[in-house]
Amino acid sequence: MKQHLIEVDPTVILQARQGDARAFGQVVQHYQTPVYNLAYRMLGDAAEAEDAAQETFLRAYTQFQSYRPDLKFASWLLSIAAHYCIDRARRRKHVGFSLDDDLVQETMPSDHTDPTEMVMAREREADAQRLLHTLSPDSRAIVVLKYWHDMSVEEIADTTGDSISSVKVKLFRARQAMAKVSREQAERVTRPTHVGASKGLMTHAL
Amino acid sequence: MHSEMIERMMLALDDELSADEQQQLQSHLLMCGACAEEWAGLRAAHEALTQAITIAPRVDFSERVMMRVVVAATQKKSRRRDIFGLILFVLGTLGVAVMIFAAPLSILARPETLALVVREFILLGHVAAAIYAWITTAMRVLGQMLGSGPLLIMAILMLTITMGWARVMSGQALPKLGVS
Repeated sequence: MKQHLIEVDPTVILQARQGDARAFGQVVQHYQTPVYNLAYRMLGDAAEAEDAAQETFLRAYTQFQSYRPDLKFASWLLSIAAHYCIDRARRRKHVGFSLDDDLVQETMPSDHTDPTEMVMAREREADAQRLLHTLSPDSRAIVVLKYWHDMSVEEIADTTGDSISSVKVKLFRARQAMAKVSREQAERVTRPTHVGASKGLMTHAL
Repeated sequence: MHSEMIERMMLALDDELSADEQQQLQSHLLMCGACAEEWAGLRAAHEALTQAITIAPRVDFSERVMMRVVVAATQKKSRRRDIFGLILFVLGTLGVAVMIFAAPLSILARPETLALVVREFILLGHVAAAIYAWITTAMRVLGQMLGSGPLLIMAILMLTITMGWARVMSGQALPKLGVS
C-alpha cells in the first residue's frame, strides 16, 4: 500500500534542530508510522521494530546538527532507520519473522472489520513478510522504500547511500528473487490439486 | 530476447512502458512459456507487496520516544557539565602550578633580579658574621671577667644557634670573610 511521504513544516524541523523538544515531538508524531513500518518490514518483529524506531528518533535527536536543511528530511530520517535496521538484521542470528496480528488489526482501516477481510489481510501480510525475508537486509531496505514509501530510484539512492545504478540492480535482482519464491509458493499450493487430479485420472482410467 | 523482456517486465511493474512496448510484451508472453511464468511470479510478488498495509506503531509510541529523548538530553547535559568541570579543574591546577613554580622561576631567570637576590643573601651573611663576631668577643670578655659557669654555657648555646643561622643564611659568603 503506497504512501508517499509528506514532509513536515520546515519551521518545525528548524526548531527541532535547535533543540526544541516540543518541535521534536511533532517530528516524532509526523514520521512515526513510516519509520516504524520500515523497521517492522526490515526486522519482522514488533518488539524489535519498536526498539529500532525509538533508536532512530533518538539518533536523529542527538545527531540533528548533521542534517542539512537542503535535503529532504524524510530521506535523512529513513536513512538513519534503514542503516540501523540493516546493521541489526545482519548481526542477529535469527532470520525469521513473526506476524503481530494485533498490530495488523490495529493498523487496518476501520472499514475492514469483516472477519474474512481480516483473515485475508493477515495472509497478505504474511506473504509480504515472507517475500521480504528471502532478501538480504540491504535489498530488503530498497524494496521497502520502493513499495511502502513510494520512493523513486534516486530518492532510494539518497536514502541508502548507494549509487542509482546499484539501486536499480539490487531492485531488479530482489524482484527476480521474490518472483521465484512466489512461483514456488504457487506451485506448492497447486501441487496437491495436481496430485489429486492425477490420482483421480488414474482411478478413472482404472 | 528473454533478458530484454525481463527488463521490460520490470518497467511494466512500475507503469513505465509505452503502449507499443506493452503490446510487444503481451505478444511475447503469449508465445514464450518461460517469460509468461517469470511474469506471473513478478506480478504475484509485486501485488503481495503493493497490497500490504503500512504498519503503524502502538498509540503511545511518541510518548515513549520523548521519554528516551528527555533522558538522553539530560545525560548529554550532565556529560557536558562533567567535561566542562574537568577542563576547569585542569586549567585551575595548571594555573596554580604556574603561580607556584613558573612565576618565581621567571623572576630568577632575569639576570638583574638574580643578582639582587644573591646580593641580599650576601648582605645577610655579612650581618650574621658581624653579629657572630660581636657575640663571640662579648662572650670571651664576659668569660674572662666571670670565669666558666652558666653564662658561658648560655653564651655557647647562643653562639651555636647564631652560627647555624648565619651558615644557612649566608651560604658560601662566610668562608670569604675568614669565619668558620
